[in-house]
Amino acid sequence: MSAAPQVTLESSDGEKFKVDKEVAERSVLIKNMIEDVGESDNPIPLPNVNASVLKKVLEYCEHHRGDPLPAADADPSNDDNRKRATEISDWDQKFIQVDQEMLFEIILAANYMDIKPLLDVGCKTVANMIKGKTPEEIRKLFNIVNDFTPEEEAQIKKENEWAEDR
Amino acid sequence: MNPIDAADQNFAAYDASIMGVDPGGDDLQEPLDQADIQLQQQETSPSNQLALRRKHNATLAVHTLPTEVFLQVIHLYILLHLEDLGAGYYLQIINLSRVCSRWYNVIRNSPPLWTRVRAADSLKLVETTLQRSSSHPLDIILHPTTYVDEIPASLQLFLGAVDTHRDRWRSLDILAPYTWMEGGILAALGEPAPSLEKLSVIDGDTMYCTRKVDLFGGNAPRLTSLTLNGVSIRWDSKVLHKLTLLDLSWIHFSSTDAILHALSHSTQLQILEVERCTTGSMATSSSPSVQLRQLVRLDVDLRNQAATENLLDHIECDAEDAPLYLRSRRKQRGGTPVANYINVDIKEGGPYLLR
Repeated sequence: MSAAPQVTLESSDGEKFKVDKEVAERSVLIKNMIEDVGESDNPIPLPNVNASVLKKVLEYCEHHRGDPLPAADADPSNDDNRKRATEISDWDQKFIQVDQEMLFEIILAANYMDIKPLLDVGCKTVANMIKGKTPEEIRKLFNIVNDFTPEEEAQIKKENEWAEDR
Repeated sequence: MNPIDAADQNFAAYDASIMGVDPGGDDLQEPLDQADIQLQQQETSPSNQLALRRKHNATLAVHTLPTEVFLQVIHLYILLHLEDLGAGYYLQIINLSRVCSRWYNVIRNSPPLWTRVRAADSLKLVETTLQRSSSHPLDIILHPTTYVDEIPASLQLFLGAVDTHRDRWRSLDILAPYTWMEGGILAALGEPAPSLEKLSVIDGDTMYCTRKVDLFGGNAPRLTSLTLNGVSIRWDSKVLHKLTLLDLSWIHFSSTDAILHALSHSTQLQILEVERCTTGSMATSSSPSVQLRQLVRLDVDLRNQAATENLLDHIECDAEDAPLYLRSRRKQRGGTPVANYINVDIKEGGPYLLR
Protein backbone atom coordinates (compact mmCIF):
# COMPACT_ATOMS: atom_id res chain seq x y z
CA MET A 1 0.00 0.00 0.00
CA SER A 2 1.46 3.37 -0.97
CA ALA A 3 1.91 6.05 1.70
CA ALA A 4 -0.44 9.02 1.76
CA PRO A 5 0.94 11.98 -0.20
CA GLN A 6 2.61 14.55 1.98
CA VAL A 7 3.49 18.23 1.78
CA THR A 8 5.93 20.36 3.72
CA LEU A 9 4.84 23.62 5.33
CA GLU A 10 7.31 26.25 6.47
CA SER A 11 6.44 28.60 9.32
CA SER A 12 7.46 32.26 9.49
CA ASP A 13 10.36 31.34 11.76
CA GLY A 14 11.67 28.72 9.37
CA GLU A 15 10.44 25.52 11.00
CA LYS A 16 9.30 22.83 8.58
CA PHE A 17 6.30 20.57 9.13
CA LYS A 18 5.75 17.49 6.99
CA VAL A 19 2.07 16.58 6.99
CA ASP A 20 -0.36 14.54 4.98
CA LYS A 21 -1.71 16.49 2.03
CA GLU A 22 -5.23 15.68 3.19
CA VAL A 23 -4.50 17.36 6.54
CA ALA A 24 -2.85 20.43 4.98
CA GLU A 25 -5.74 20.83 2.59
CA ARG A 26 -8.12 21.61 5.43
CA SER A 27 -6.68 25.04 4.70
CA VAL A 28 -8.28 26.48 1.58
CA LEU A 29 -5.20 28.70 1.14
CA ILE A 30 -2.90 25.67 0.99
CA LYS A 31 -5.33 23.67 -1.13
CA ASN A 32 -5.41 26.48 -3.68
CA MET A 33 -1.64 26.85 -3.60
CA ILE A 34 -1.16 23.15 -4.27
CA GLU A 35 -3.68 23.29 -7.11
CA ASP A 36 -2.00 26.36 -8.60
CA VAL A 37 1.60 25.22 -8.27
CA GLY A 38 1.10 21.49 -8.60
CA GLU A 39 2.85 18.74 -6.67
CA SER A 40 6.27 19.89 -5.51
CA ASP A 41 8.91 18.97 -2.94
CA ASN A 42 9.44 22.62 -2.11
CA PRO A 43 8.08 23.67 1.25
CA ILE A 44 4.98 25.85 1.20
CA PRO A 45 5.85 29.09 2.99
CA LEU A 46 3.40 30.49 5.55
CA PRO A 47 5.00 33.85 6.38
CA ASN A 48 2.16 34.94 8.68
CA VAL A 49 2.18 31.93 11.01
CA ASN A 50 4.93 31.07 13.46
CA ALA A 51 5.89 27.51 14.40
CA SER A 52 4.06 27.30 17.73
CA VAL A 53 0.80 28.51 16.17
CA LEU A 54 1.20 26.36 13.07
CA LYS A 55 1.74 23.34 15.29
CA LYS A 56 -1.59 24.05 17.01
CA VAL A 57 -3.39 24.66 13.72
CA LEU A 58 -2.07 21.40 12.31
CA GLU A 59 -3.18 19.58 15.46
CA TYR A 60 -6.70 20.86 14.72
CA CYS A 61 -6.49 19.90 11.05
CA GLU A 62 -5.20 16.42 11.92
CA HIS A 63 -8.07 15.81 14.33
CA HIS A 64 -10.64 17.00 11.78
CA ARG A 65 -9.02 15.43 8.70
CA GLY A 66 -12.06 13.29 7.88
CA ASP A 67 -14.71 15.94 8.46
CA PRO A 68 -16.73 17.14 5.48
CA LEU A 69 -15.33 20.40 4.17
CA PRO A 70 -17.64 23.40 4.22
CA ALA A 71 -19.22 23.83 0.78
CA ALA A 72 -17.42 26.46 -1.26
CA ASP A 73 -20.74 28.00 -2.22
CA ALA A 74 -22.18 27.87 1.31
CA ASP A 75 -23.83 31.15 2.13
CA PRO A 76 -21.64 32.66 4.87
CA SER A 77 -24.47 34.93 5.94
CA ASN A 78 -26.76 31.99 6.62
CA ASP A 79 -27.13 32.18 10.37
CA ASP A 80 -28.49 28.67 10.77
CA ASN A 81 -25.46 27.22 9.01
CA ARG A 82 -23.12 29.27 11.12
CA LYS A 83 -24.83 28.36 14.35
CA ARG A 84 -24.66 24.67 13.53
CA ALA A 85 -21.09 24.92 12.36
CA THR A 86 -19.99 26.59 15.54
CA GLU A 87 -21.38 24.27 18.13
CA ILE A 88 -18.09 23.57 19.84
CA SER A 89 -17.37 19.90 20.38
CA ASP A 90 -15.70 18.70 23.55
CA TRP A 91 -12.43 18.12 21.74
CA ASP A 92 -12.49 21.59 20.20
CA GLN A 93 -13.26 23.17 23.56
CA LYS A 94 -10.24 21.48 25.07
CA PHE A 95 -8.12 22.37 22.05
CA ILE A 96 -8.99 26.06 22.27
CA GLN A 97 -8.26 26.31 26.00
CA VAL A 98 -5.10 28.34 25.48
CA ASP A 99 -3.87 31.69 26.70
CA GLN A 100 -5.34 34.79 25.12
CA GLU A 101 -2.34 35.55 22.96
CA MET A 102 -2.38 32.06 21.47
CA LEU A 103 -6.17 32.19 21.03
CA PHE A 104 -5.97 35.35 18.93
CA GLU A 105 -2.99 34.01 17.00
CA ILE A 106 -4.94 30.85 16.18
CA ILE A 107 -7.86 33.00 14.98
CA LEU A 108 -5.52 35.09 12.84
CA ALA A 109 -3.89 31.97 11.41
CA ALA A 110 -7.28 30.37 10.69
CA ASN A 111 -8.34 33.55 8.92
CA TYR A 112 -5.10 33.75 6.92
CA MET A 113 -5.05 30.04 6.06
CA ASP A 114 -8.79 30.09 5.36
CA ILE A 115 -9.84 27.31 7.73
CA LYS A 116 -13.44 28.32 8.30
CA PRO A 117 -14.43 25.82 11.02
CA LEU A 118 -11.37 26.74 13.10
CA LEU A 119 -12.09 30.44 12.62
CA ASP A 120 -15.64 29.86 13.85
CA VAL A 121 -14.43 27.92 16.89
CA GLY A 122 -12.04 30.76 17.75
CA CYS A 123 -14.59 33.52 17.20
CA LYS A 124 -17.25 31.68 19.16
CA THR A 125 -14.83 31.20 22.03
CA VAL A 126 -14.23 34.95 22.17
CA ALA A 127 -17.98 35.57 21.86
CA ASN A 128 -18.53 33.28 24.85
CA MET A 129 -15.81 35.10 26.80
CA ILE A 130 -17.63 38.43 26.55
CA LYS A 131 -21.08 36.99 27.22
CA GLY A 132 -22.85 38.67 30.13
CA LYS A 133 -19.96 41.00 30.91
CA THR A 134 -20.10 44.73 31.54
CA PRO A 135 -17.82 47.03 29.51
CA GLU A 136 -15.55 47.29 32.56
CA GLU A 137 -15.33 43.52 32.86
CA ILE A 138 -14.54 43.20 29.15
CA ARG A 139 -11.81 45.82 29.49
CA LYS A 140 -10.32 43.90 32.39
CA LEU A 141 -10.55 40.64 30.46
CA PHE A 142 -8.55 41.96 27.52
CA ASN A 143 -6.46 44.58 29.41
CA ILE A 144 -8.13 47.36 27.44
CA VAL A 145 -8.05 50.89 28.88
CA ASN A 146 -10.86 53.39 28.58
CA ASP A 147 -9.73 55.68 25.75
CA PHE A 148 -12.85 57.74 25.15
CA THR A 149 -12.80 61.50 25.10
CA PRO A 150 -15.31 63.18 27.42
CA GLU A 151 -17.37 64.09 24.34
CA GLU A 152 -17.45 60.47 23.19
CA GLU A 153 -18.40 59.35 26.69
CA ALA A 154 -21.29 61.79 26.64
CA GLN A 155 -22.43 60.58 23.22
CA ILE A 156 -22.42 56.92 24.28
CA LYS A 157 -24.27 57.80 27.48
CA LYS A 158 -26.93 59.44 25.33
CA GLU A 159 -27.18 56.39 23.07
CA ASN A 160 -27.55 54.20 26.11
CA GLU A 161 -30.41 56.36 27.31
CA TRP A 162 -32.15 56.03 23.92
CA ALA A 163 -31.87 52.26 24.21
CA GLU A 164 -33.19 52.30 27.77
CA ASP A 165 -36.02 54.70 26.96
CA ARG A 166 -39.53 53.14 27.22
CA MET B 1 -9.95 48.08 42.91
CA ASN B 2 -12.08 49.43 40.09
CA PRO B 3 -11.07 47.61 36.88
CA ILE B 4 -10.70 50.87 35.00
CA ASP B 5 -8.39 52.12 37.70
CA ALA B 6 -6.46 48.87 37.56
CA ALA B 7 -6.07 49.22 33.83
CA ASP B 8 -5.08 52.84 34.35
CA GLN B 9 -2.40 51.76 36.80
CA ASN B 10 -1.06 49.33 34.22
CA PHE B 11 -1.21 52.14 31.76
CA ALA B 12 0.86 54.39 34.06
CA ALA B 13 3.61 51.80 34.02
CA TYR B 14 3.32 51.55 30.27
CA ASP B 15 3.37 55.32 29.98
CA ALA B 16 6.52 55.48 32.04
CA SER B 17 8.22 52.77 29.99
CA ILE B 18 7.45 54.67 26.80
CA MET B 19 8.98 57.79 28.32
CA GLY B 20 12.06 55.87 29.38
CA VAL B 21 11.70 56.44 33.09
CA ASP B 22 11.05 54.20 36.00
CA PRO B 23 7.64 54.89 37.52
CA GLY B 24 9.29 55.15 40.91
CA GLY B 25 11.82 57.64 39.57
CA ASP B 26 14.81 55.88 41.20
CA ASP B 27 16.77 55.49 38.03
CA LEU B 28 16.82 59.16 37.08
CA GLN B 29 20.57 59.68 36.93
CA GLU B 30 20.62 63.15 35.44
CA PRO B 31 18.38 66.17 35.88
CA LEU B 32 15.90 66.53 33.06
CA ASP B 33 16.63 69.36 30.67
CA GLN B 34 13.97 71.86 29.72
CA ALA B 35 12.96 69.97 26.55
CA ASP B 36 12.48 66.77 28.49
CA ILE B 37 10.35 68.56 31.04
CA GLN B 38 8.25 70.11 28.26
CA LEU B 39 7.90 66.73 26.59
CA GLN B 40 6.86 65.09 29.81
CA GLN B 41 4.33 67.84 30.44
CA GLN B 42 3.00 67.42 26.91
CA GLU B 43 2.73 63.70 27.31
CA THR B 44 0.74 63.97 30.46
CA SER B 45 -1.66 66.47 28.94
CA PRO B 46 -5.17 65.03 28.37
CA SER B 47 -4.74 64.80 24.60
CA ASN B 48 -1.44 62.98 24.87
CA GLN B 49 -2.77 60.71 27.56
CA LEU B 50 -5.57 59.84 25.19
CA ALA B 51 -3.11 59.15 22.39
CA LEU B 52 -1.06 56.92 24.67
CA ARG B 53 -4.17 55.06 25.82
CA ARG B 54 -5.14 54.43 22.24
CA LYS B 55 -1.60 53.34 21.48
CA HIS B 56 -1.73 50.92 24.37
CA ASN B 57 -5.05 49.51 23.19
CA ALA B 58 -3.72 49.10 19.67
CA THR B 59 -1.00 46.75 20.91
CA LEU B 60 -3.36 44.31 22.61
CA ALA B 61 -3.86 40.78 21.33
CA VAL B 62 -7.61 41.29 20.95
CA HIS B 63 -6.94 44.23 18.66
CA THR B 64 -4.69 42.28 16.32
CA LEU B 65 -7.89 40.89 14.81
CA PRO B 66 -8.76 42.57 11.52
CA THR B 67 -12.06 44.43 11.57
CA GLU B 68 -13.87 41.77 9.54
CA VAL B 69 -12.82 39.04 11.99
CA PHE B 70 -13.71 41.19 14.99
CA LEU B 71 -17.12 41.69 13.41
CA GLN B 72 -17.47 37.93 13.05
CA VAL B 73 -16.98 37.68 16.81
CA ILE B 74 -19.68 40.29 17.37
CA HIS B 75 -21.99 38.63 14.86
CA LEU B 76 -21.57 35.24 16.56
CA TYR B 77 -22.08 36.87 19.94
CA ILE B 78 -25.41 38.20 18.69
CA LEU B 79 -26.36 34.95 17.01
CA LEU B 80 -25.59 32.80 20.02
CA HIS B 81 -26.57 35.06 22.87
CA LEU B 82 -28.79 37.91 21.71
CA GLU B 83 -30.82 36.50 18.84
CA ASP B 84 -34.10 36.34 20.73
CA LEU B 85 -33.44 39.42 22.77
CA GLY B 86 -36.16 41.91 21.84
CA ALA B 87 -35.90 45.08 23.83
CA GLY B 88 -32.44 44.30 25.13
CA TYR B 89 -30.73 43.92 21.79
CA TYR B 90 -29.53 47.48 21.34
CA LEU B 91 -28.71 47.82 25.04
CA GLN B 92 -26.30 44.93 24.60
CA ILE B 93 -24.87 46.29 21.35
CA ILE B 94 -24.36 49.73 22.87
CA ASN B 95 -22.91 48.06 25.94
CA LEU B 96 -20.26 46.42 23.76
CA SER B 97 -19.51 49.72 22.06
CA ARG B 98 -18.69 51.25 25.45
CA VAL B 99 -15.57 49.12 25.85
CA CYS B 100 -13.19 51.40 23.96
CA SER B 101 -13.00 53.68 20.95
CA ARG B 102 -12.11 50.85 18.58
CA TRP B 103 -15.07 48.75 19.60
CA TYR B 104 -17.27 51.83 19.43
CA ASN B 105 -16.16 52.73 15.92
CA VAL B 106 -16.34 49.21 14.54
CA ILE B 107 -19.82 48.63 15.99
CA ARG B 108 -21.03 52.13 15.15
CA ASN B 109 -19.91 51.75 11.53
CA SER B 110 -21.20 48.25 10.90
CA PRO B 111 -24.64 48.67 9.27
CA PRO B 112 -25.67 44.98 9.62
CA LEU B 113 -25.69 45.39 13.41
CA TRP B 114 -28.29 48.17 13.17
CA THR B 115 -30.94 46.65 10.93
CA ARG B 116 -33.50 45.69 13.60
CA VAL B 117 -36.13 48.39 13.82
CA ARG B 118 -38.67 48.02 16.60
CA ALA B 119 -41.75 50.11 17.16
CA ALA B 120 -41.32 49.49 20.87
CA ASP B 121 -38.01 51.37 20.89
CA SER B 122 -37.75 55.10 21.42
CA LEU B 123 -38.10 57.18 18.27
CA LYS B 124 -34.56 58.49 18.77
CA LEU B 125 -33.22 54.94 18.75
CA VAL B 126 -35.34 54.10 15.70
CA GLU B 127 -33.93 57.12 13.86
CA THR B 128 -30.41 56.12 14.90
CA THR B 129 -30.85 52.57 13.65
CA LEU B 130 -32.35 53.75 10.36
CA GLN B 131 -29.35 56.00 9.86
CA ARG B 132 -26.66 53.55 10.99
CA SER B 133 -28.07 50.68 8.99
CA SER B 134 -27.11 52.72 5.92
CA SER B 135 -28.54 51.02 2.83
CA HIS B 136 -28.85 47.55 4.39
CA PRO B 137 -32.12 45.60 4.44
CA LEU B 138 -34.29 46.25 7.47
CA ASP B 139 -36.12 43.87 9.77
CA ILE B 140 -39.08 45.72 11.19
CA ILE B 141 -40.93 44.59 14.27
CA LEU B 142 -44.18 46.23 15.17
CA HIS B 143 -45.43 44.74 18.40
CA PRO B 144 -47.20 47.02 20.85
CA THR B 145 -46.01 47.27 24.42
CA THR B 146 -49.36 48.55 25.61
CA TYR B 147 -52.83 48.21 24.12
CA VAL B 148 -54.94 51.31 23.74
CA ASP B 149 -57.97 51.75 21.52
CA GLU B 150 -56.58 54.40 19.21
CA ILE B 151 -53.34 53.95 17.34
CA PRO B 152 -50.75 55.80 19.46
CA ALA B 153 -49.12 58.94 18.06
CA SER B 154 -45.70 57.37 18.62
CA LEU B 155 -46.69 54.49 16.34
CA GLN B 156 -47.83 56.92 13.68
CA LEU B 157 -44.39 58.55 13.90
CA PHE B 158 -42.76 55.13 13.69
CA LEU B 159 -44.77 54.24 10.59
CA GLY B 160 -43.77 57.56 9.03
CA ALA B 161 -40.11 56.96 9.84
CA VAL B 162 -39.95 53.45 8.39
CA ASP B 163 -42.14 54.29 5.41
CA THR B 164 -39.41 56.46 3.90
CA HIS B 165 -37.15 53.37 3.93
CA ARG B 166 -39.68 50.94 2.49
CA ASP B 167 -37.38 49.99 -0.37
CA ARG B 168 -35.13 48.45 2.32
CA TRP B 169 -37.79 46.41 4.14
CA ARG B 170 -36.59 42.82 4.28
CA SER B 171 -38.95 41.50 6.90
CA LEU B 172 -42.00 42.91 8.55
CA ASP B 173 -43.50 41.40 11.69
CA ILE B 174 -46.77 43.00 12.79
CA LEU B 175 -48.95 42.17 15.75
CA ALA B 176 -51.54 44.84 16.41
CA PRO B 177 -55.19 45.26 17.32
CA TYR B 178 -57.84 45.92 14.70
CA THR B 179 -58.10 49.64 15.41
CA TRP B 180 -54.40 50.11 14.84
CA MET B 181 -54.60 48.15 11.61
CA GLU B 182 -57.33 50.45 10.40
CA GLY B 183 -55.58 53.46 11.90
CA GLY B 184 -52.56 53.33 9.62
CA ILE B 185 -50.91 49.92 9.48
CA LEU B 186 -53.00 48.55 6.63
CA ALA B 187 -52.40 51.75 4.66
CA ALA B 188 -48.65 51.21 5.08
CA LEU B 189 -49.11 47.71 3.67
CA GLY B 190 -50.77 49.07 0.55
CA GLU B 191 -47.70 50.51 -1.15
CA PRO B 192 -45.01 48.44 -2.95
CA ALA B 193 -42.27 46.77 -0.93
CA PRO B 194 -39.68 45.82 -3.54
CA SER B 195 -37.20 44.07 -1.19
CA LEU B 196 -39.59 42.44 1.26
CA GLU B 197 -38.92 38.73 1.72
CA LYS B 198 -40.91 37.91 4.83
CA LEU B 199 -44.21 39.26 6.12
CA SER B 200 -46.17 38.31 9.19
CA VAL B 201 -49.37 40.18 10.02
CA ILE B 202 -51.36 39.19 13.06
CA ASP B 203 -54.53 41.02 13.88
CA GLY B 204 -54.59 40.88 17.65
CA ASP B 205 -58.34 40.87 18.10
CA THR B 206 -60.13 40.09 14.85
CA MET B 207 -61.45 36.63 14.27
CA TYR B 208 -62.34 35.34 10.84
CA CYS B 209 -61.44 38.47 9.01
CA THR B 210 -63.27 38.89 5.74
CA ARG B 211 -62.00 42.27 4.62
CA LYS B 212 -59.47 42.09 1.81
CA VAL B 213 -56.21 43.98 1.87
CA ASP B 214 -54.55 44.65 -1.45
CA LEU B 215 -51.13 43.75 -0.07
CA PHE B 216 -48.46 46.10 -1.47
CA GLY B 217 -50.67 46.68 -4.48
CA GLY B 218 -49.48 43.26 -5.58
CA ASN B 219 -45.92 44.55 -5.76
CA ALA B 220 -43.62 42.63 -3.43
CA PRO B 221 -41.63 40.61 -5.97
CA ARG B 222 -39.26 39.00 -3.47
CA LEU B 223 -41.81 37.86 -0.92
CA THR B 224 -41.22 34.20 -0.05
CA SER B 225 -42.76 33.89 3.39
CA LEU B 226 -46.25 35.09 4.27
CA THR B 227 -48.06 34.66 7.57
CA LEU B 228 -51.55 36.06 7.92
CA ASN B 229 -53.58 35.71 11.08
CA GLY B 230 -57.01 37.35 11.02
CA VAL B 231 -56.04 39.37 7.97
CA SER B 232 -57.33 38.52 4.54
CA ILE B 233 -55.86 39.68 1.26
CA ARG B 234 -56.76 39.61 -2.39
CA TRP B 235 -56.17 35.95 -3.16
CA ASP B 236 -55.36 36.64 -6.80
CA SER B 237 -52.52 38.94 -5.75
CA LYS B 238 -49.10 38.60 -7.35
CA VAL B 239 -47.52 38.64 -3.88
CA LEU B 240 -48.43 34.93 -3.65
CA HIS B 241 -46.47 33.89 -6.69
CA LYS B 242 -43.02 33.29 -5.18
CA LEU B 243 -44.00 32.02 -1.77
CA THR B 244 -42.27 29.03 -0.26
CA LEU B 245 -44.09 29.40 3.06
CA LEU B 246 -47.75 30.31 3.48
CA ASP B 247 -49.27 30.29 6.95
CA LEU B 248 -52.93 31.28 7.19
CA SER B 249 -55.09 31.31 10.29
CA TRP B 250 -58.38 32.78 11.47
CA ILE B 251 -59.45 33.65 7.94
CA HIS B 252 -62.88 33.01 6.47
CA PHE B 253 -62.78 32.03 2.80
CA SER B 254 -65.88 32.44 0.73
CA SER B 255 -65.23 28.96 -0.68
CA THR B 256 -62.61 26.23 -0.81
CA ASP B 257 -62.32 27.09 -4.50
CA ALA B 258 -61.00 30.48 -3.38
CA ILE B 259 -58.28 28.75 -1.35
CA LEU B 260 -57.43 26.51 -4.30
CA HIS B 261 -57.33 29.52 -6.59
CA ALA B 262 -54.85 31.24 -4.26
CA LEU B 263 -52.71 28.09 -4.01
CA SER B 264 -52.71 27.60 -7.76
CA HIS B 265 -50.42 30.66 -8.03
CA SER B 266 -48.07 29.52 -5.27
CA THR B 267 -46.47 26.66 -7.12
CA GLN B 268 -43.19 26.87 -5.18
CA LEU B 269 -44.73 26.30 -1.76
CA GLN B 270 -42.75 24.07 0.56
CA ILE B 271 -44.71 24.76 3.74
CA LEU B 272 -48.45 25.32 3.85
CA GLU B 273 -50.41 25.84 7.01
CA VAL B 274 -54.13 26.56 6.95
CA GLU B 275 -55.25 26.58 10.54
CA ARG B 276 -58.47 27.58 12.24
CA CYS B 277 -59.81 28.91 8.97
CA THR B 278 -63.34 28.43 7.68
CA THR B 279 -64.85 28.07 4.26
CA GLY B 280 -68.25 29.09 2.94
CA SER B 281 -68.58 26.15 0.57
CA MET B 282 -66.58 23.08 -0.25
CA ALA B 283 -64.88 22.29 -3.52
CA THR B 284 -66.79 20.14 -5.98
CA SER B 285 -65.72 17.43 -8.40
CA SER B 286 -65.39 20.10 -11.06
CA SER B 287 -63.03 22.18 -8.92
CA PRO B 288 -59.44 22.03 -10.12
CA SER B 289 -56.75 20.33 -8.08
CA VAL B 290 -53.57 22.22 -7.28
CA GLN B 291 -50.14 20.76 -7.85
CA LEU B 292 -47.69 21.69 -5.10
CA ARG B 293 -44.68 19.72 -6.21
CA GLN B 294 -42.26 21.03 -3.62
CA LEU B 295 -44.47 20.69 -0.57
CA VAL B 296 -42.76 19.06 2.41
CA ARG B 297 -44.99 20.20 5.25
CA LEU B 298 -48.73 20.62 5.36
CA ASP B 299 -51.09 21.40 8.23
CA VAL B 300 -54.77 21.85 7.39
CA ASP B 301 -57.63 22.63 9.72
CA LEU B 302 -60.86 24.05 8.34
CA ARG B 303 -62.72 23.55 11.63
CA ASN B 304 -64.60 20.67 10.11
CA GLN B 305 -63.24 17.30 9.12
CA ALA B 306 -65.25 17.05 5.91
CA ALA B 307 -64.07 20.48 4.77
CA THR B 308 -60.48 19.64 5.71
CA GLU B 309 -60.60 16.35 3.80
CA ASN B 310 -62.26 18.13 0.90
CA LEU B 311 -59.39 20.62 0.64
CA LEU B 312 -56.79 17.88 0.95
CA ASP B 313 -58.49 15.98 -1.85
CA HIS B 314 -57.61 18.83 -4.15
CA ILE B 315 -53.92 19.18 -3.24
CA GLU B 316 -51.47 17.00 -5.11
CA CYS B 317 -47.79 16.58 -4.60
CA ASP B 318 -45.47 14.20 -6.41
CA ALA B 319 -42.35 14.96 -4.43
CA GLU B 320 -40.66 12.04 -2.72
CA ASP B 321 -40.49 13.96 0.53
CA ALA B 322 -44.12 15.08 0.33
CA PRO B 323 -46.15 14.83 3.53
CA LEU B 324 -47.02 11.17 4.10
CA TYR B 325 -50.77 11.59 4.04
CA LEU B 326 -50.62 13.34 0.68
CA ARG B 327 -48.70 10.40 -0.71
CA SER B 328 -51.18 8.00 0.81
CA ARG B 329 -54.04 9.90 -0.80
CA ARG B 330 -52.32 9.68 -4.15
CA LYS B 331 -51.95 5.94 -3.70
CA GLN B 332 -55.55 5.71 -2.61
CA ARG B 333 -56.68 7.40 -5.79
CA GLY B 334 -54.44 5.06 -7.75
CA GLY B 335 -56.11 2.05 -6.21
CA THR B 336 -53.37 1.30 -3.70
CA PRO B 337 -54.72 0.58 -0.22
CA VAL B 338 -54.52 3.49 2.14
CA ALA B 339 -51.64 3.24 4.52
CA ASN B 340 -52.28 3.50 8.21
CA TYR B 341 -50.14 6.56 8.62
CA ILE B 342 -52.88 9.09 8.03
CA ASN B 343 -52.90 10.72 11.39
CA VAL B 344 -56.14 12.47 12.13
CA ASP B 345 -56.04 14.21 15.42
CA ILE B 346 -59.59 15.12 16.33
CA LYS B 347 -59.82 17.43 19.25
CA GLU B 348 -63.07 18.08 21.04
CA GLY B 349 -65.18 20.14 18.66
CA GLY B 350 -62.28 20.38 16.23
CA PRO B 351 -59.93 21.52 14.91
CA TYR B 352 -58.99 18.55 12.77
CA LEU B 353 -55.29 18.37 12.26
CA LEU B 354 -53.77 16.08 9.72
CA ARG B 355 -50.06 15.81 10.14
